[in-house]
Amino acid sequence: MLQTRIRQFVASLRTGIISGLIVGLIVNFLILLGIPVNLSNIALLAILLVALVFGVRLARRLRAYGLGHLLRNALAMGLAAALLVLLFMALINRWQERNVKVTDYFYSVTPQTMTVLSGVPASELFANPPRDPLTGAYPEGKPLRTNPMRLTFDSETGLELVDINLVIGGFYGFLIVLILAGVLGTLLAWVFTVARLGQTWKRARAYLATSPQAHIGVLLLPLAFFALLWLTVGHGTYRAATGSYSTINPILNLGGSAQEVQLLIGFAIILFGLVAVRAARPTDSGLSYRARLALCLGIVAVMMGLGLWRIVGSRTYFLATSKALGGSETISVVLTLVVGALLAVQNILRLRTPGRFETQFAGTGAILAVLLMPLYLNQGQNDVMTIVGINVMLGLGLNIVVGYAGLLDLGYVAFFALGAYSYAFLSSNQMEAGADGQPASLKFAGNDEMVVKLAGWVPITVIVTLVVVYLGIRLWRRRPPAERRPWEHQRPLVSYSGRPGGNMTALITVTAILLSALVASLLEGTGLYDRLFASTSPFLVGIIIGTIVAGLSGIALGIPVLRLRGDYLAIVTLGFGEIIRLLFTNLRDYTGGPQGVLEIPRPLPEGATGGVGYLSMVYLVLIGVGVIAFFSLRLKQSRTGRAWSAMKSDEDIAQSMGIHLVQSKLTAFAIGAAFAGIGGVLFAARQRNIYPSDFRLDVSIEVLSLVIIGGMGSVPGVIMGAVALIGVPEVLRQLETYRIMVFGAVLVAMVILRPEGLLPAPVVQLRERARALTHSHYRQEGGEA
Amino acid sequence: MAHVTQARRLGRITLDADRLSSQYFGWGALIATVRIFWVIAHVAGLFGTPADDIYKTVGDGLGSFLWAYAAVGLVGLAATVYSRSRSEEVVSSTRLFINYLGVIFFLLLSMRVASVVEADPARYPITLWGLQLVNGLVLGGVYALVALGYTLVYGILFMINFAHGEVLVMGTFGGWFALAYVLNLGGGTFEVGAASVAAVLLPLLFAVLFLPLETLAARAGRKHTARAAEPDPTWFLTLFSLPVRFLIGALVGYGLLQALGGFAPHVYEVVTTVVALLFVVAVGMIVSMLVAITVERIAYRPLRGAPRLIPLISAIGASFFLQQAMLNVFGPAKRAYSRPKLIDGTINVQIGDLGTIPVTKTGIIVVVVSLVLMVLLYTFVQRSKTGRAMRAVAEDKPTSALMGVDVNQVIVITFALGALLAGAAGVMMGFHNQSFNFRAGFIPGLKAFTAAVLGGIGNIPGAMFGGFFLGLVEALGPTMLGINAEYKDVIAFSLLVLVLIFRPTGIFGEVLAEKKV
Repeated sequence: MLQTRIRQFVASLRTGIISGLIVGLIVNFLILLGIPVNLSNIALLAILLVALVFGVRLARRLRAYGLGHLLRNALAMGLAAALLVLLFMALINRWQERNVKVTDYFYSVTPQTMTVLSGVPASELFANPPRDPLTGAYPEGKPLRTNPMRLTFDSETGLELVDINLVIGGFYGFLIVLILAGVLGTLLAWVFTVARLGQTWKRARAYLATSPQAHIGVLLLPLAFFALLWLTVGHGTYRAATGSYSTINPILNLGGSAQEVQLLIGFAIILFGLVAVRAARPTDSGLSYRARLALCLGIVAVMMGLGLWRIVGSRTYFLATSKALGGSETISVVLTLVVGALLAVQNILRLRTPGRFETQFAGTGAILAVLLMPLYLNQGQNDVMTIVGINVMLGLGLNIVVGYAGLLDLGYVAFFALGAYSYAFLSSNQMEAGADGQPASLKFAGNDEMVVKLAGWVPITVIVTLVVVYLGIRLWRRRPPAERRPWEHQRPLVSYSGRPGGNMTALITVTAILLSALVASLLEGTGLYDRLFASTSPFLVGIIIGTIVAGLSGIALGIPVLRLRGDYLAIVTLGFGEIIRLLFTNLRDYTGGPQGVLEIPRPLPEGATGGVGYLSMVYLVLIGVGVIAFFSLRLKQSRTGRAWSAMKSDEDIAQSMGIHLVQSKLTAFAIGAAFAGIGGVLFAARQRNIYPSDFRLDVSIEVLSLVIIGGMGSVPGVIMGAVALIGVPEVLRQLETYRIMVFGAVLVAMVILRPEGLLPAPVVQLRERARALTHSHYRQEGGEA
Repeated sequence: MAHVTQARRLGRITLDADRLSSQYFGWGALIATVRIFWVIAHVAGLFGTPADDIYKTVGDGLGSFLWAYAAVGLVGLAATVYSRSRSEEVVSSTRLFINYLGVIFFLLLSMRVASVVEADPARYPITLWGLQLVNGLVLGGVYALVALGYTLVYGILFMINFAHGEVLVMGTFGGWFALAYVLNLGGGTFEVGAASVAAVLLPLLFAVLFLPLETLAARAGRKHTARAAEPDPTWFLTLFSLPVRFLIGALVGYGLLQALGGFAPHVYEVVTTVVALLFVVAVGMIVSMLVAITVERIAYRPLRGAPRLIPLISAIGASFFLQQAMLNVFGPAKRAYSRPKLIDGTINVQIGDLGTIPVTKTGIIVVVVSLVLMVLLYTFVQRSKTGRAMRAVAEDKPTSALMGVDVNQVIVITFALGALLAGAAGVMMGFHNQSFNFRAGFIPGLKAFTAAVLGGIGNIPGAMFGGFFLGLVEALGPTMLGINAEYKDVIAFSLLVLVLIFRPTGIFGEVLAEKKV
């Protein structure tokens, strides 16, 4: 009888014990990772949080049982976890006592770990002297180590939890707190269920979703955060008359953590700008045209005023002319006014159509907030913004390949590298030592005059080709209708005024190239060519060349992999990415090898100093992001975008519907690669020195994860992913050692819990919601989705 | 795209252009390979002195034949394409072009090898090739073991287990800890620690072996009695004597060990070292297995019914997580495997009077153990009940569930088996290379996947073949082509790309029907 009752009791505790073992393993894993050493101030909180979370999970699993059962299981969980932690720490303690070098085995377990977990200061945690082998006693006179796992109620050496001293003694106090945390989690979840707080939560969410005040608040969010930023930044006033410069202290002084908080506010501006634009509804809120116009133009005016005050007052110029910076202020002011005027005009025109008010309001506010934000951040913060922007560009490019066209590309970093290296070769000022050891000639001949001239031919070709192609297609569409075209043998089944066929396209292209050569030689003859291109910064040429090189290599990659699907495509592209990196590393004579390419100039005239350097970089990146985002959004609605969407769903059916698979895939690869090329050029311009180790597989995986986590196929999602995954870790520098690990874990978690991403495309959102509602989630065995 | 073969009739001859071009490619590749090996053997002196005319003539003759072959192929290709464009057929000629390009590729390859090797015959003696061959086999053994893990998982789940490379390194780490424990027991010397370990493990092994003896004997004895159906009235003796048998077995084992120590110390040393090494390998295998099972449970099981991209991304995330976790837990510094005296050192193999090839003992062990494990796995999958269940689940998951197979269990066993092999490979890699760190699994993981694809993913003998093939290509390739050894990674990845483009189903072909994305 007793035996069965014991057996039943133990069986009833099974869930708790298993949860406890898992918690114990996780806590041990956290200790092994070195959380107590690297993040000592929040280590205890983190460990207790684990216990809390699992307590909540336990309560949810045992919802159907009574409170007593729940508490018994919670206690069992705590005890099991505490036991595992105790065993592990006993082993570590034993090693430390015997002067075994623990870091040889586990890199991150130091005496500091013991200090954090038991409250004994590190100075008392040295190893014991060796015992006398005969008597087993310690030698006289030598101080002995304080055993951190002793039982003590000494209030002097309690644990420190966020500067609160937990008086319960030492290590066992920690274990007790661990158990209590688990029980607390269980109790909280139980209270939550019993008091039906879930209903209250749902009602609150519904209220927030529907109330008009909350809606207006969401639309005003980017402006609100901008105001917050404005309050925290100090302003300067420069009086040209007296030549004096005085600073006004910020209204909201944040002290030491100002840098991080301002950067986080900057990220919030971007994120909530996206959210606000998404949340805008097609209503006019009952306002007249004048009222709407007044509101929108009012925002433009206020923001422009603030911007001009910042530019003139604090001398934050973002553009410099080559005349020894004489006109920096003028040109910055003029450009700001131009942008303001453009936005005003756009508002005036757009608000005429009804239903556009909210989008315009939110959009204008968001754009202006984002544009003015860099003026209020310092160099380091703007640097972070630049890196986030470059990653956004990469993410948007990969979004086209993976999100729109469904081609999983793991070698994306190869195009990035090609863009960066092409700009580097064209513009590097790195000198090579001649025979006498002195710097004699340019190491990379790309900056040679001849090459710059040839490279200058490319923009001419681009412009001329665009013109010729446009005119050519217009002319071609005017050709006689099908009945009067006896020179074509075959009549198409469906006649549409689409694009010309292969021969005509070739003819147009050849004409364009020849014409551009003609134009270039004409310019050369009249001397205009030299004036236009010889003294131009290689940056403009570099961007065009970088884009084209990357785009062509995208096509080159796409051709062999046309017939591969899914996993195979991923692996082959991964192989390509590695091959490119290895070639850059090993072809030392051409690419500089592991030493990389140095001394790449900034995209500015010589002698530009001050804020112009980093501000112009940020604005270039912002312009790049804007252009690429615009292209992405328009591509999605176009025929090509729809072809991609069909191809992503099912290739065979798409092909039977008449979509030319080869063209679609190659276009996707080419455009995605071109965007990566732009990002690469900007990356090279920012870094000033590039090495092959900057272009490892890790970069590809990071970009892929920010596309997946942000939302595949959704432009705001990718931006959000970049800000969250690249921007936030830059702020939280402490977690640098764990960054990629957290990446991997977040990737797995996102893919399991929310595969559509954080800000998914609306169609996907609806589909996922439908799927969740009908419970046809991923948990089917062996069936298709 | 649906592939339609149009065979043309010319009188009584049927010309199937596509089949012809496939055969053309096959023969061309074969002849080119023969030429390569002929030239290498000739220059290395396997056919006698390198100045011998007739062998050189044959080699050159093969080269010229290949040129003629290519020319003939060009003519045939042009003719076929022309006739196809003139006719009303709507057939794609891509296959023909690809096969022809393949022949050109092999032709260029053989030309390059011939020119490299004949330009400087003194640099390419047989010892060099022998050394590279041995290196290739060792690499191949490791790749084959890991490739089996990839292939097993892909066969059942149609998913590339990106985290398998990390499982490999976890095995190496587990083995390192076991090795450190043995060394610690022995105060720094492996052999002393091995004695202690063997003193515990060998009696345990014997004890476990002794356990079923009495039952076996009883069963053997019972066969002769007529009343075999009735239980033996002294059956309880069998039960009670379990601990007794265990003890007897333990005593026998211990006694045997001490006897060896007393009378044959060399054998004793060998036996104890072997037992301790097996212990290290076993610990490595168990650690790998635990890691793989955890990863499967957390990252793959919730995604069973998802579209194919999703588990792949989850695998990538898991791989990165494991790698960085290893970095944080074990540190970036390289750890060293200290070799016991038994497996340390090289054996010099004499090749006639042409020279000696130094073969490391660890290399031999790697190859031998790989082969043994592969044979064991193959027998297990083909003969045992669980193996049959695995094959059933690989062929048709829902139907095998209907037939009473526990699909979840089978999947866990598949992961475990693959991880066991990878763990063994990891420990052996550790002993062979003697130093490793947390990143040591990434490139071998990728290459082992290449090997699995080469052989035809989902195909067990294919993975074994692919592993050795890739290892040999990697070791012999740079030498044959006369380029720097750093390019071996490039060669491996290029081979992957080429195989996937020209023959996506691998050399042995996919055993399973290809499922759609």
